[in-house]
Amino acid sequence: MVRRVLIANRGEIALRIQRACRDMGLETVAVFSETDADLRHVALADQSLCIGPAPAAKSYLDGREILLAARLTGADAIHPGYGFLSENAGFAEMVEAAGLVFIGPPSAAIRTMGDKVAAKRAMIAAGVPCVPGPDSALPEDAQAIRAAAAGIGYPLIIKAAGGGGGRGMRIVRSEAALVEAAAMTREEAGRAFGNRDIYIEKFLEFPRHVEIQVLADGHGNAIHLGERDCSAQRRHQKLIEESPAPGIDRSVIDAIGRRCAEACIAIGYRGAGTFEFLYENGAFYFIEMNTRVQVEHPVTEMVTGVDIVREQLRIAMGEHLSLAQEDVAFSGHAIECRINAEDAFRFTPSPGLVAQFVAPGGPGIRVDSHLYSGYRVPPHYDSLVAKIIAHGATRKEAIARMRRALQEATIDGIRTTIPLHLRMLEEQGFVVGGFDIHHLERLLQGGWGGQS
Amino acid sequence: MSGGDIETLQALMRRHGIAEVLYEDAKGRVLLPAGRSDALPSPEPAARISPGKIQASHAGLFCSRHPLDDMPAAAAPRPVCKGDIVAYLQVGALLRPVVAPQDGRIGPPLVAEGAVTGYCSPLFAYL
Repeated sequence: MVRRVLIANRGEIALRIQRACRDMGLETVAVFSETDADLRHVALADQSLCIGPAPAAKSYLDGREILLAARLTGADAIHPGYGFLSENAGFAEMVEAAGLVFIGPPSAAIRTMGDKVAAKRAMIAAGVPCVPGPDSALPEDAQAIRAAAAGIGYPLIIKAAGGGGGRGMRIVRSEAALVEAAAMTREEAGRAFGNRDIYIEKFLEFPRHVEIQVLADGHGNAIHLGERDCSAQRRHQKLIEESPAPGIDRSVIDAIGRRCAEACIAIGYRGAGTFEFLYENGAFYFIEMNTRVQVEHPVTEMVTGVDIVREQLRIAMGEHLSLAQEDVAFSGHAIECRINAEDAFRFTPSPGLVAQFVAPGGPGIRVDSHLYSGYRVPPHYDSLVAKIIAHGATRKEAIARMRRALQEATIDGIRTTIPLHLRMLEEQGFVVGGFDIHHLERLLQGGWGGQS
Repeated sequence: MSGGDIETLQALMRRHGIAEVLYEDAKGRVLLPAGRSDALPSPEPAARISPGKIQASHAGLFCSRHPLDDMPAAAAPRPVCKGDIVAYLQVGALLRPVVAPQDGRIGPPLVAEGAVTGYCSPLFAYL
């Protein structure tokens, strides 16, 4: 029985969780750092508690302090949101051991999917297509490394087993560079992730990033909610996401989505999750699973009508999924632009006082943001301050509505990425759709952005 | 009475604002000053320093005295030395001390007994 949910996060996702809880009649506890007392969800929560100073390591990443806060406030469940402790198997385990409900998958599933080698092995066993390469960690022996690479061919990529999100990777284009690259990646992996295991895969030169949203309950049911195309990236950070993915047949999406749902059941997964794939030449290649709600989840919500955070809560409360695969209906097209508090083309952070904030609106527009006039964006955390989501009957209509919303949005006092998005919506490659993950980087390197 | 007992007694005296204890019987007379607490190891970092305030160094339920201490809380205003334990913050079985960040005299608690206090909440004001 869940009655009171502690929200172990901040910003827009904390407010999103707060709203879902309120819709379901659940009480909320907002825990916040010293610098975040003015966050919107803190004001709206039934109870709020400052748990530490601004540095995340001493507040939002301090699992022990968050657990004590749960005990202090009588919370019986913890929603970790995304980032921070959301994919920390140790924290999930602590929550479980304390007799509280972790609103996410079982700690064992997080641990399995957090180890990229173990995840790949599990996916292969579940019939999910993976990037060519062995499903085991690379040995230390140079000869064995060369032999493993020869079986894949060049170019290849060396990855940290404990990495993810674009960190801990090195591309190798010839055998001459292989052994040294492996040693360097292993060394970095040990320092950055506490796990020296590395593995190799075929490097795909011009893939798209297409991911599948899944939901699984604790009763052996799992469904997929289609895909999101997240190929508009800079340095592995997504900037624009959309659904459906332009130019990919619905039957192909459904087939890969059903494989993912079956994999959830096979690995004992529970909750919301995302299977990330590279898509190249008509084929999907699994890269990793995110065992949490994604920043871009509203894109899927707009095309399916399914409230993913609500489903997370229901699943955590032991309920069955509220719909079966056959009930999932896709409608129209949705695009999300991430509005960051940073210079639009130099990408330098721009924290500070938001003198005025006026959210856009009108048909087909949704804004998920914790901003308000007078709010001060702190320098300590991720720069995401708003997500604008546009929905239309067609991709063309969604783009037109997004353009209108971006022009309408007023965020005075700080610089944001809105000018970048406006430029992107007019860029020919984006308008056509189906570009690869390097598209935006190529544009920027070519001086496309200019000075903001 | 061992040296450890004397230190414990001095800590209690400081907590309750007692400057010195005089014990006298037929055999003699012992005077024990509360002394400064700098020499005593502090189990926790001092509470956050805010001008004129002692703030909570953690979240917890405010306790003006140790739950096992059956003596009443020290009357206010009272003198405190840097490092003195002036209250506790409790979460379940965990009890974390609130330590005075500087010498001075403090007034009564700014929060009610048993109140949920967050990190940085003002607990006492220096007079």
